[in-house]
Amino acid sequence: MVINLSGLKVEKVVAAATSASHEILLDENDVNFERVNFISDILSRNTVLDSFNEIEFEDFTTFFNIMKMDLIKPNKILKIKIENEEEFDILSNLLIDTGLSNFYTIILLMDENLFLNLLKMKLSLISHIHLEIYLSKISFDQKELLVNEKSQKWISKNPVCFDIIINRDNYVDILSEIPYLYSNKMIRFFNISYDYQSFEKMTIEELQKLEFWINHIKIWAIFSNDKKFEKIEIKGISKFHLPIFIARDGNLFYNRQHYEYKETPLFNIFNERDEYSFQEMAKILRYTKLSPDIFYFPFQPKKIMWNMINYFDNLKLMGNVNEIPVITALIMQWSWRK
Amino acid sequence: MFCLPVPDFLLTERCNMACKYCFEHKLSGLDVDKDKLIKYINEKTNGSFFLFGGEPLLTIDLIIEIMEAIAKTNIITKRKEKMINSCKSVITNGTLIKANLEKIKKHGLRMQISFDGVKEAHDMNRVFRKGGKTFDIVLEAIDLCHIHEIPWSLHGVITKKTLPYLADTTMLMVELYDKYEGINAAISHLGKNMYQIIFEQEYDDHDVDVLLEQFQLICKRIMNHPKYNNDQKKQMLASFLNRKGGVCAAGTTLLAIDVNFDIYPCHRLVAFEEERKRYKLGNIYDTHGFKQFRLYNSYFRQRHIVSSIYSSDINIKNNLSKNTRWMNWCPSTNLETSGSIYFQNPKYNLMHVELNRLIDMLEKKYGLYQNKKNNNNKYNKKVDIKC
Repeated sequence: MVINLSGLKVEKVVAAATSASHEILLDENDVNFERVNFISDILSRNTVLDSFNEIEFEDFTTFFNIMKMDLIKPNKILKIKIENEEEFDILSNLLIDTGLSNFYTIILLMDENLFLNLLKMKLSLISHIHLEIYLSKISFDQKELLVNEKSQKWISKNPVCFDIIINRDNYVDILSEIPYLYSNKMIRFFNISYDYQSFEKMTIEELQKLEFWINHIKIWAIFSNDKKFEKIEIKGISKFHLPIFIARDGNLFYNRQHYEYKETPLFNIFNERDEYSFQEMAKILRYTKLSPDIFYFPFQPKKIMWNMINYFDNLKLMGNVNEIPVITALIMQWSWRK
Repeated sequence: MFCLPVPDFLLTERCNMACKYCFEHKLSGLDVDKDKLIKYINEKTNGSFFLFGGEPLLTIDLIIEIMEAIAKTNIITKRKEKMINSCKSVITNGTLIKANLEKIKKHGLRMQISFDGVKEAHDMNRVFRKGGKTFDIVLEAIDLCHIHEIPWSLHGVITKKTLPYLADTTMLMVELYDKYEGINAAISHLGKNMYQIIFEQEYDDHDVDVLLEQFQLICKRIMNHPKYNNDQKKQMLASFLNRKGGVCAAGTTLLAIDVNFDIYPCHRLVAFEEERKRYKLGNIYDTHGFKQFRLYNSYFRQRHIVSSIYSSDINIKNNLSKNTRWMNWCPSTNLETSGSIYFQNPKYNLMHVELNRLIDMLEKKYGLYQNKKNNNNKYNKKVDIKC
């Protein structure tokens, strides 16, 4: 038997065609086919993080370990949780030495007390680094935030964002406090995440109330954007946005909530292998390859606000990470402003 | 009782075979309750349903009893005929056809026989519970069906290990159809779901190479076949290369009901094992207990998505509704393999992306591409495919 298949290894062809009882000659005129896609290239530890534009690290150590591996391409948003001043010192020195903040958007997640201490003690150091600060909690009676004129000035010029998750029980309190925080604490950015799983259980009447409050805060934000004052922004990203959370052991999750629920991880970044099973591949690829905007929703929002999608909630509510639940689409619709 | 659009009843959880790739493990050995089934068919179906197994011919008397019971009922003739017709279609492994020949012939049953191709491929996976091989028995059954004018069709499964036999298998099926039904049947079946490359296996790059090479061999064999004229060869080739991918309605219009009347998205997800119980949707006697409906409702609305394909470097949005030749879509297997009804085994998917690229080139080589481009469909007959 003579077999000549261009582009294919002879031994593979012979092995494959051992069954062929007929004499088939594949001549020089056969199609000159060359493979473009390879199964071995589908998933690799070196490229898996390329799909995401926002990477959150469980803590400072995780950030440090992952950056050493040189797996993250520039122009990504990196979120790092900072627990104490010591971590901040190490990180700020690292950022100054390496210039990392020129290649990435660095967001520090911290609580209010740490932030106040940094404002008091490390203001000159903070001022040297280009970064954003997300505060997980703000106590409304805390007056120290306006500690002195210098720190006031710093806050007014730098992005300090109130990062809050609202749910069915607390949304009225939180949304009604936003004007206060803006007026009295000079917080200009509000990153509101929604606990869709709790909103899902709302009655129609409760939903109407929620719509009222979202509208209320939206209109307040529009009217607050006076040139005399600083601009207020309730963050909504209309360009494609895909987040990932990296735990200390290198496991990847949709977000921190997904990690805290002790769900099965999507992938492990420390585990380097040549081959992955199709189940292992599918776990992470169904998230990165199937973008929700190819689905049409039961209720179509005017525009997708990417950072409002909670992929873990998608999974819990729809049984599918790629599908946006009705409640998410509704809140997106209400939040959207031209 | 829960009314389902197209129920797929498991008549029995018994089978005389133990095929190596079968998704029905740990069969209970039970048969369905005949009276309950007849009552349900009479009262709740619109006349369209499927009977499945296990091996349905193990309960051929039950099928006949159901048909007779329907015939006696006082319902309009058209609906009665539709229901009896639904009973006549039997998906069988073919090994019991000879033993039940008279009954099959008398009641006009139609056989869809599971047949994996050449002896080496068929006997590799399709074996009796006690280990005996079945190729010769099934081949004899096909012959008997022809002699006794029993309608038959073939459907096979191609696994990773039987991929190297694909060309031989294809040519054997062509020869069988040509021998018994004529050249037109052979051409037609080349474009139908003659066999299915199994979804849930760990393909590697070598398997992709083998598949591509087998496709080239098949084209060669058809074009070099001494029996057919040029026109017939091109029709066969066009039919084969243009086989459209199929989308299964599992979980939407089609739902499976096991011998306990529990409802599942399809027969491959029935809880033959403990861990599969999570796929259970409800029971036909409990209309309020239906669960996981969202998963399948949304699938029904979004079926256009499944015509899209994935590969490691192709943007899914740019590939909707094209390059899906030979790429079948099984939401149930997707659910099992990826946890999402929308996401196929990426290895299977990539294999078909490459296959579609090769088919484009083969169409050009054999002059089929030009015909398609000029809207001359002489060699590009559209064929309806059911998964």
